[in-house]
Amino acid sequence: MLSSLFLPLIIVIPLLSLLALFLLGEDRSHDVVKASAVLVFIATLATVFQGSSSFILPYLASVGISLHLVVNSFNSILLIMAAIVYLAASLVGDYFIKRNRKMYGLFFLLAEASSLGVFLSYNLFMFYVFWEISEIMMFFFIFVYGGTMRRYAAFKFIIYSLTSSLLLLIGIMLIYANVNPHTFDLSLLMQSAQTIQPGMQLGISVLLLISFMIKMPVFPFHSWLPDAHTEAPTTGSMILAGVLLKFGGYGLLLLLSMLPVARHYSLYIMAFAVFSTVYSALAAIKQSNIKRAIAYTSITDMGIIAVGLAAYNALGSMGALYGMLSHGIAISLLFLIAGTLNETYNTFDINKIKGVIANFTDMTYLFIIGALAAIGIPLTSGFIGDILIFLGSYGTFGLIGLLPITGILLIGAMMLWIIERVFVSRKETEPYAEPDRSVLYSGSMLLFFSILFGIVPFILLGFR
Amino acid sequence: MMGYIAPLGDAFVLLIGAVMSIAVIAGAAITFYRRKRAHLALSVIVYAASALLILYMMLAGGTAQMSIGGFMLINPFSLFFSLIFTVGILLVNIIAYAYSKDYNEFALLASFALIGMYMVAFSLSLVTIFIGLELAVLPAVFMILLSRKSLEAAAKLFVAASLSTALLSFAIVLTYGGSGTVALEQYSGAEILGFAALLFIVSLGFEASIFPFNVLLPDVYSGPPAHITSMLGGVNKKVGFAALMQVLILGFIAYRQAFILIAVLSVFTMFYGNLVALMQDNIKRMMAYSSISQAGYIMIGIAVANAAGISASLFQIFAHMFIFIGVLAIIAWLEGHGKHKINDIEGLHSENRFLSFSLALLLLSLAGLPFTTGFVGKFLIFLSSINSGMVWLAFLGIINSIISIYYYARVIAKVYTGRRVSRGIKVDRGIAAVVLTCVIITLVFGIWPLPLMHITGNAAAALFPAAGAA
Amino acid sequence: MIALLLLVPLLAALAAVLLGRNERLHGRIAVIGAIISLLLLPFVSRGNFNIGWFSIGNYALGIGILVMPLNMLLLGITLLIAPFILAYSLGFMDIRSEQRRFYAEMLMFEIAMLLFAMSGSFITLLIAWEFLSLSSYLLIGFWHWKEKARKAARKAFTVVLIGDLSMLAAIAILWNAYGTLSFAAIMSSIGAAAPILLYPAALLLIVAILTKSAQFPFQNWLPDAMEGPAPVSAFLHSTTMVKAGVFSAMIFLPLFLYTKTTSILLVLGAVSAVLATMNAMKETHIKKIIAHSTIQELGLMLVAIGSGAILAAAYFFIVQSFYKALLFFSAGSAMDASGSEDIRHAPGMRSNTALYASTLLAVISLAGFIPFSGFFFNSAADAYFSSNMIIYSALTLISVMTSFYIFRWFLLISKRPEDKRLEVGYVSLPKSMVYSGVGMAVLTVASSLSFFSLRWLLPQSALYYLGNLGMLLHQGSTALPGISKAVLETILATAGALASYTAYRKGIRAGHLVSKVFNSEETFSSIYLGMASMACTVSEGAVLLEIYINAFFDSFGRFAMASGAQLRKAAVGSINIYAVIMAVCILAFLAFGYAYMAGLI
Repeated sequence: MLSSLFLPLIIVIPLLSLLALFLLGEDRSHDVVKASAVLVFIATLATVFQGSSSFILPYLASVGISLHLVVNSFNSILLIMAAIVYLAASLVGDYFIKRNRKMYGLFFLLAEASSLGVFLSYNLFMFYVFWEISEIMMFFFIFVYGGTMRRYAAFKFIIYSLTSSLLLLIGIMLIYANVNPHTFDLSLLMQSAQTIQPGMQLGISVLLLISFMIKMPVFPFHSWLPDAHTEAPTTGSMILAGVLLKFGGYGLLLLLSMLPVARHYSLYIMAFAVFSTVYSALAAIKQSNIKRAIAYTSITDMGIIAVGLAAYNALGSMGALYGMLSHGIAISLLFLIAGTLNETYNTFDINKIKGVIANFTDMTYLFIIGALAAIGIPLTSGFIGDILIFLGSYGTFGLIGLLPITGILLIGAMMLWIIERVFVSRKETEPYAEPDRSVLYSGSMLLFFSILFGIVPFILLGFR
Repeated sequence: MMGYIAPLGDAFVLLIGAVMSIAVIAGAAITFYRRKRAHLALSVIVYAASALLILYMMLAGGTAQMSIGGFMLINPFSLFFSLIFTVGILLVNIIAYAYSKDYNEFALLASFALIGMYMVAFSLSLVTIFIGLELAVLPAVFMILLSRKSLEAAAKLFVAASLSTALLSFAIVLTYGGSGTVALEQYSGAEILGFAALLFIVSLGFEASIFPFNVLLPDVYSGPPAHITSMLGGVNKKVGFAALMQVLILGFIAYRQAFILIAVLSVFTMFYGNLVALMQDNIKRMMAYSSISQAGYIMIGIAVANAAGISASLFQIFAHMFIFIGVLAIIAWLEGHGKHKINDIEGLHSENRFLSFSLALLLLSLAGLPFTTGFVGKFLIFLSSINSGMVWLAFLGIINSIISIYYYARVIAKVYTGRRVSRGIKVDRGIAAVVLTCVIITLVFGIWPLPLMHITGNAAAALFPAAGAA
Repeated sequence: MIALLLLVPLLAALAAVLLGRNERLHGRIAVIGAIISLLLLPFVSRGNFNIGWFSIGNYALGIGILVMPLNMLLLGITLLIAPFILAYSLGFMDIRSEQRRFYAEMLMFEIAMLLFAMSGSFITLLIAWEFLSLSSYLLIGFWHWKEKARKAARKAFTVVLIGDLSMLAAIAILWNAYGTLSFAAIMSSIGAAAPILLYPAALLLIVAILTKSAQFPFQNWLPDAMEGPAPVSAFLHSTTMVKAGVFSAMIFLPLFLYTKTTSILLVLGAVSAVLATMNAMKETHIKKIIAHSTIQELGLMLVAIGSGAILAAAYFFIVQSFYKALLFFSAGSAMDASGSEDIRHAPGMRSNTALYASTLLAVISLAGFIPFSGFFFNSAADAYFSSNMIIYSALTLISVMTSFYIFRWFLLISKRPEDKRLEVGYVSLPKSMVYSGVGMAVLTVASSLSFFSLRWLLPQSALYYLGNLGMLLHQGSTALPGISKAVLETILATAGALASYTAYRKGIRAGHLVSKVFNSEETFSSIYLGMASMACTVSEGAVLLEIYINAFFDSFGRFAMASGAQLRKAAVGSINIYAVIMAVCILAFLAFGYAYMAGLI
């Protein structure tokens, strides 16, 4: 009973914080954001560890729309991930965002509420609505607080994202139109969507797949991501890579569990994902902008996750979810450090920063362990995700399912190269400024969770 | 079916009539003495009173309908449109009060126009629609003339209106020839009636700004001052839709091909509006094109030709009216400070946070930000078209939504970049009130659209008597 | 108890990191931790434990811990050697900063190896396996301010990562074939899956083994890894890291036998051994010679495993650990004392008698004299290979050459220097360095004698692992070598040593001769670089392709903009033009619409 009260609280807390944000002054807005993120984190933990629960608030009952929030074993992993990433991003708000703080708080809180809403909602319409809001908030993040090329990046981001979300909209409306009774509610759709005619199912699957492929992103729809990440503010990058990309993965999981026809074509999804994995890893190697390089590795990791989802078996799906958790945490950490490098050295250029370890040992260690977590070294959560994904993908696809491992190898080599050139090399460049303590706190927190979920995965996955 | 108590119906007509006559007669007197303030007070009171009256009728009457004297019909549909027109004219009056030099004349002409609009909304015959349309459009021509800003726009509007009138009368004649009546009832058979349907689409398409009959409209919208544009795009255009819906749905529902043509035209309209809007540097002109593209979305609902589609279109009409008037109020304020170009509004947020936020919100609503009426309307339209099997139409509509994001986002981006030295430029209280109303309505019915959906559902059902009876 | 074995070094590492500003304290804590965990070893109970880790639906994945004689052996070796290496480091690292990091990473290395040694399921194995890679990466690049060290560390990790990921892939295959990852379960029911299904898994595991043990064609990272500090090399070459590959080859033997892939191990091991021997002969870097020798020895072990001589392999496995650690102690001491990395510039070891004696012991062990350890292996292996003439002659040649290059090494660094300061350097070496060498020498001798205990130790564990397939093994796997072979072996070693001595006396520069005809290291180095640069080239291509993809998608936007601009141009005109446009449009619409409604279209 109590748990079903916590559920809406996850979304309501940031919205109520908006009130505090408007009442308090510009100087306090980061504090409001932090407090809200902490509360959301606690509420999420409370909800997830109370087990499965649901909450329904009728909304537009005549068209089968209600605010149906559900926590189950699938989305709880993503909820925790989102709560952690938002918490980490809120901690470093003071450091990275120094102007328009009140507006930042507005965007941040709305993005937080809607991102968690995406993972929570068990109604396709609300899923879409939350998805769209968080995208628009991300547009503002990039546009208002971004780098020098922010205009181009932000517009590219919003055009791609809305293409994705509007394809999603058509897809869910087609599902709605083709099921009897008409509904958007997933708990009903899980059964009734099976009965849609195969031809229509295929059409819907294609629409939704393209939508999710843009969002994840998977080759060839990925070209918005490097630009968006390069230009986004650090906290924006953390949220974008950590949380927003996962919408696509979660959507893919829903699609595959809803429409049987989509499962028949999972080989094609896998083929795209595998190619994307290797391709983006190759593209990452020669990037000279550290943020851009990390952005490409994020495409690689999402490709691996897509392979796990496409495998559509217990291990593959769970592995993909766990992979999303670990990727969310690790990539936020990497972007955090990359952003801090920019704050301290005034550049993202790999060739212009040398010998970070001489000045900032903590940051070096954070980056190294973050990079290792991104390639799934044991005792970080990435290991659990990777191993489950490949156990599952071999089960479905055979040896081809193991090809994405090449991508891991390539990004591993690339990460090591970056570490060698930027972090542990002989000191040649002097930093302009000292990093803030908050970076250390936020990074250590991410690291802590990455290792925690790597050592005791049973707290999320179950234990038998 | 629960009917009105007959006296109440009569009383309603009397009341509306009385209210309107007060507006016209007293307005004429006040115009003579040039008391702006008194005229505004009068308009606000009269329109508010009639809006409340209509609202009461709507809520009390439910789905009931009754005809008065065989030429006027009170039903949820007509009440819905008359509510929209009344509130629209009310808001436009407030904007005009702040920025019009000849407010008295404007208000008088607006009340004339409103009478015409009522005629269209309540009409039960083609002839009343004809007269009502004339009465609604001609005051607008005079308004533009009076503003002395753009004679060309007035001329263009006049040309378009007269062409439309000519074609409309031709269509009515053909209909009479084919069916032997000018009453609005369901026609069938007679090939000549099919041609009449086409002529109706063309002639009413001028008013509703359907491509390719709307090529003059952007000039007409962008020429005169913003308060007149807000009337033209926010209210007058809706008259075209009211007429189009009544004529096509009530009269020509049997001619399915006509609705397919509407669907095709809606695609052209959306693409035309959106693509041209992409390249505009004048914000008012951009809004003109944007309103053309919105007309395209509304037409999708008409093309679907069922209660759900019409209901969705009505929702979108409601949404668009408030959004458009809200944006145009802001543009009027900008014009008051000599800003016409999109580049001029750079850094607006440091000058006035409230208006910047409202502008962003309203434009985002047009683009389809969830939890705003713009989104709900579009969503319902696409849903209805997909539900009735016109997936391609929804698909093209959505492609247009993607295109439209660009120019809306461009304006918002401008508003929130750059910084100006001047802070806190004063905003007229009227303008602020209008904008606030529009924003609140956009948000409230976006977050909780059920009441509005209920109203539009009733209104749409009134157009489908057979389905309603069953 | 088994957990304590891991916990004690972990706590020691934590203590070393957290405690004290005192530079000397870190090392002492580390040594004490290593000794305590060694003392715990006798109390460890045997068995096969499965600790649940997490589960998904009906699938449960657990940490398997297996303590069987073979594991005990590896645990014992690791635990025995670790304190000595740490003690040696006390002296070695004394003159360098960053003690804290060093001891923490060394202990992490030890923990990873201990976990590896006790792993009873593939999950545990993979965890330990990747942690070995990680710790070796950190330790090889310990002196990260040296560019060579950085590059060597990255190279090592990149190559080893290939193996780690192959292991991951192999695990995915095995899981789907057997539904479990426990060694005991898989190896006892090895026949439950079709060989064709397991063939890729076997190949992937071989790749993993080859990368870890630095065998052909992945041998190149190991000589480069000599950029790490000497204790690291000692650790890496004796028990941790490279031994993991050979050890897992022993564990996976049933799988290799079942899929008939043992010959791959055999051939690649032999090729590596030959290549490494040639390299060792021409090398002049003090530590790299011993590194090549390690590759050679690991290759021989793989040859032994590949031909089923598991007893010989296990024995060699044990003794090699001790004398190799000892050799690296000596090499480190020589480099420390002389400040040079070249055997030709580091003479004077003779002046430190203890060091000299222990080094000599290691050298003759390696060369294979009666009654030292190398001899036992060579003779044990000979016993099995005598049936195959090619391998037998190759092995014979290798023993001569081994003896030759190790004596060259020894003679050069122990000759009397012209510069007396070098002798001073040797004499003034820290005591901890010298005496841990002496201790290791004692262990080397003791380990040689373990040969006789192996007779009962190994067959048991071999049977445990191999299950029913134990019969497939070579019948002679538990046999003792014949005495005649032993004598022959000693003669060969003596011949090699004599040749080396002659060359040394006459000043023949054998290394030059070899390097004139043989250049495998450079070849492989260039292959590695070539692959890296190929990846970079492909990457540049991908970056270029990105631009095109970008432009492709942008072109939609451009098209929309351009058409908007065209339409806009059309929309700016006088009223006459509008009238014409409208008239045309209306007529067109009416004509088209009428035709449509009348059913003409």
